[in-house]
Amino acid sequence: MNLPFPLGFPAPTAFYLTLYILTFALHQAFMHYVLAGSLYVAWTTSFPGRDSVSRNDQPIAATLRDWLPFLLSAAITAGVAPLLFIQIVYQKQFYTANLLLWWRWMLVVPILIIAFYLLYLLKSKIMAHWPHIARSLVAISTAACFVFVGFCWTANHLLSVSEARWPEVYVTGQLPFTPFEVLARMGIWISDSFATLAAILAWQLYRRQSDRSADIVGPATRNLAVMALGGLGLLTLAGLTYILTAADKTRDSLFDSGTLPYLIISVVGVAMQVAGWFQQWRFGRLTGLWSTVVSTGSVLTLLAMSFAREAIRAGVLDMPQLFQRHADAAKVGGFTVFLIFTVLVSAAIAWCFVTVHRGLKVQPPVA
Amino acid sequence: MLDVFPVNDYGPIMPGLVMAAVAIVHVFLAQFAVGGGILLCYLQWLGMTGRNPHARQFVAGYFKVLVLISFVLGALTGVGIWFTAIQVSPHTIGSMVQNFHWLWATEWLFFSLEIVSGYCFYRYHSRLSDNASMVLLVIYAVASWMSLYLINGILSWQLTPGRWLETHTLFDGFYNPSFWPSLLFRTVVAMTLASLAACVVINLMTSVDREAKTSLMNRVAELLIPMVIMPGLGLWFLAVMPADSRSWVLGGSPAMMLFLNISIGSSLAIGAYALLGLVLQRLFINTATAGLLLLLAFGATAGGEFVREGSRKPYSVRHVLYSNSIRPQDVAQMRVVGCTANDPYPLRNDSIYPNDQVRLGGKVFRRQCSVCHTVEGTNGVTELTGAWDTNQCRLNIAKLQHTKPFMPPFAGTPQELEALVQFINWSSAERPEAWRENTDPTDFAQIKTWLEEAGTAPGDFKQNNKRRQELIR
Ligand code: HEC
Ligand code: HEM
Repeated sequence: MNLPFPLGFPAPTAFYLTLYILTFALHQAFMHYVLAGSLYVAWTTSFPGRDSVSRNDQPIAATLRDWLPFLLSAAITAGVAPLLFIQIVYQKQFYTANLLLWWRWMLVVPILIIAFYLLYLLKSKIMAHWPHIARSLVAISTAACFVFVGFCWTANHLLSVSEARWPEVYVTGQLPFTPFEVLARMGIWISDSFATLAAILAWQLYRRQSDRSADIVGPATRNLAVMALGGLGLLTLAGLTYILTAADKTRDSLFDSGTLPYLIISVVGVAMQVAGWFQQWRFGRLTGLWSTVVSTGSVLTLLAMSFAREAIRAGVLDMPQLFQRHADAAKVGGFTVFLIFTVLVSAAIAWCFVTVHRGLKVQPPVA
Repeated sequence: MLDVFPVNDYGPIMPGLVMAAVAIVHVFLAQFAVGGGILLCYLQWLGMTGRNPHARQFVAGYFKVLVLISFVLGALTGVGIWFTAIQVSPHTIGSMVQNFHWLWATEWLFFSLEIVSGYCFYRYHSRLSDNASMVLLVIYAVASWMSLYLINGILSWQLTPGRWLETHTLFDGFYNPSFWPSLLFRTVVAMTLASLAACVVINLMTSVDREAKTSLMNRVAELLIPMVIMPGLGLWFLAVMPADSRSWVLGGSPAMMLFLNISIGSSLAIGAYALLGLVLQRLFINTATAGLLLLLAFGATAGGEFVREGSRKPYSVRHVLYSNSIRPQDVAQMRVVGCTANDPYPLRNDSIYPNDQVRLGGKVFRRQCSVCHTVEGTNGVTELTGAWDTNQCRLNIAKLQHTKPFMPPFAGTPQELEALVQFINWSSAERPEAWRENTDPTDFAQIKTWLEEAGTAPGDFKQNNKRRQELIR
């Protein structure tokens, strides 16, 4: 019986791995919102439906357009922390993959800049009088940018664990994996991103639910449930495909007794989300209790999948070779500084929220 | 010896230039954001205390610009600089991360605070009281200045590690000799940029009349006053710089000197105009003039960053790592085992090389020279060696750190050096299909002697100057 991953490793390795995974999971939460959100907006913009209120003006799409720019900021900022820790945990692997992808990797930043401004364009009123086709094009391009960025991260990840192929990739410039491998992996996070999106949107809509009439709340709730249940269904399919087609070594590390707990927790998380959405579908509105169940399930799934993802990578790499670097990193000072500022900055963030919350109570919304 | 990473070919430009370009854009935007925080707090205070009735409107408009420019471009060019640094020199960024990751993690906390406070203000300030808005702005300003404070310590360590070299403690590295002058310098620059950008924004405001605009402009111009201490801070910085770096900047390297002059010239022009026109005479400046001043400020930033990047040569972290990712303590060993022994990457287009010696030379060039030189483009070696015969070329490369002390010592075997010389000659001869391999043992023996004479220590610019003067005499 092994200790749960990453506790079997020497303390510095386990410590940096855990920090990496926790910050990575935070990045994923925001990233999921942006990715699935922009895909959803691409759909509602292109197919506004025949109802009296276009899909694009219904609460979900309107909320998304309003919040996507901020959530993208959050996804990028949250990405900086795992970007930092990965350079300690897998320095050589990460750098080499970056270098081998080369200009393909350097495209990520300009693409994100374009996507960011497209999000602001989607949010602004400038596009209101544009022809349908132009608006659709903007929305689809935005989503495509995010899918592409996600693809780059996946490619980088797959490349970073194929050390034996690096020289060949350097010379030929060709990536050492099949489209199927990439798609199976992308399938997992794209499908889960819809479940995460629905869990976050639930709270955003719940806050304003009492201001809205039942004929708006009902369909919105059901749309969210479809989004979440569809995402979770696809996640199950993609996960099974991944497990069935994975290399033996990968499968072994997935079912290793150190990783199995995470697999079980992610299944529990999925079950909680399914139950929560099923109930809210039945009620035709969002409830605090079941939204909490959904969010808890979503957090569990996200965290457990992040741990499992890392356990798989650790199973493929020669980890003992990396221990020394982690031990060296653990010797440099500054952790106390970080802890102190974690407390101070968290307090300042809380202060911001309190300030806004109190301020809005004094000054109710204008209209 | 350190791991060898795959090196990409940038064609006619050198990697350092790519790095400088991204860094300049990012530094410009990031400093604008830091100064913006300070400026907004000041204007909010003016508005709240009734000192300027139009200040509130300005604050709202200016913050929108800040969000659209700095939150998007500033944040993403920050990621971009990181990605570029990995491309250009993975070992440099790796050693910075290894030594300072907790400070970087702390900086990340402040980034998070910046976006939370910033977005809270952006979204809700129209519905918040003056005091609540001020709280958010102050938090935003402190957070963004703290991110400058933290990154400044890490970057200045690269040039002046100071006592850290002996103690290896975090605080010696962070509070290194150039920490304070560069922090203060950057803070003044940040305020200048924010103020100049504000002049543009004020011009574009449609809801207030000319008189109101002038009154606002006079206020934002007050942030230009600290520019008077810039010359002093600049001299302080020069004084704590290592003597050799100082000598490159002050004439040792024409390119560096040019960029320093651009930087000083543009700053003087802005300073003179700002103080005389905006502060003393309380003039109004139109969009074009404000834009021009901002452009000059960009020039000054560009020159300054270029000098900062360039003056570290031959190191990327002084006394710790040469720009070509070779550690000073590894040179002696690499003279024996070679610099290509642990390089797993074949050359791209392997088939165009006429023989194994030239091929080896190509690998030596890639490993030791390509970070600062191209073959035929900017700073191209074929051109730089154009006037030398083969023996001179061998001699000058064997004594690379004495040829120009802003180059590291050659870190390879005599065989590798000869291969490099053959590679350069073959490239100069426009890459013919056939090329004779040189196996003459006397050449190798001569190279070995020269390498021994050169030693493995870095070049000394004082001795080098003396030698040069003797040669001239
Ligand atoms: C740290 C960066 C750096 C590295 C590494 C470097 N050089 Fe240089 N080198 C320079 C700079 C800067 C110059 C000055 C160019 C000028 O004067 O225009 C220079 C000049 C030269 C010159 C001309 C010298 C003269 O006296 O005119 C030659 C030849 C040269 N380098 C060859 C090499 C070779 C070969 C290598 C690899 C073994 C190498 N350099 C590595 C930065 C570097
Ligand atoms: C909105 C745009 C982005 C999207 C859609 C996105 C998507 C992803 C995805 C899908 C992965 C997992 C890849 C895999 O396991 O196959 C990932 C990993 C990661 N992302 Fe992002 N990302 C985005 C922006 C960013 C940014 C801007 C940063 C850095 C600041 C960042 C930092 C990271 C890091 C460090 C990892 C872990 C890489 C690894 O473990 O190999 N991401 N991202």
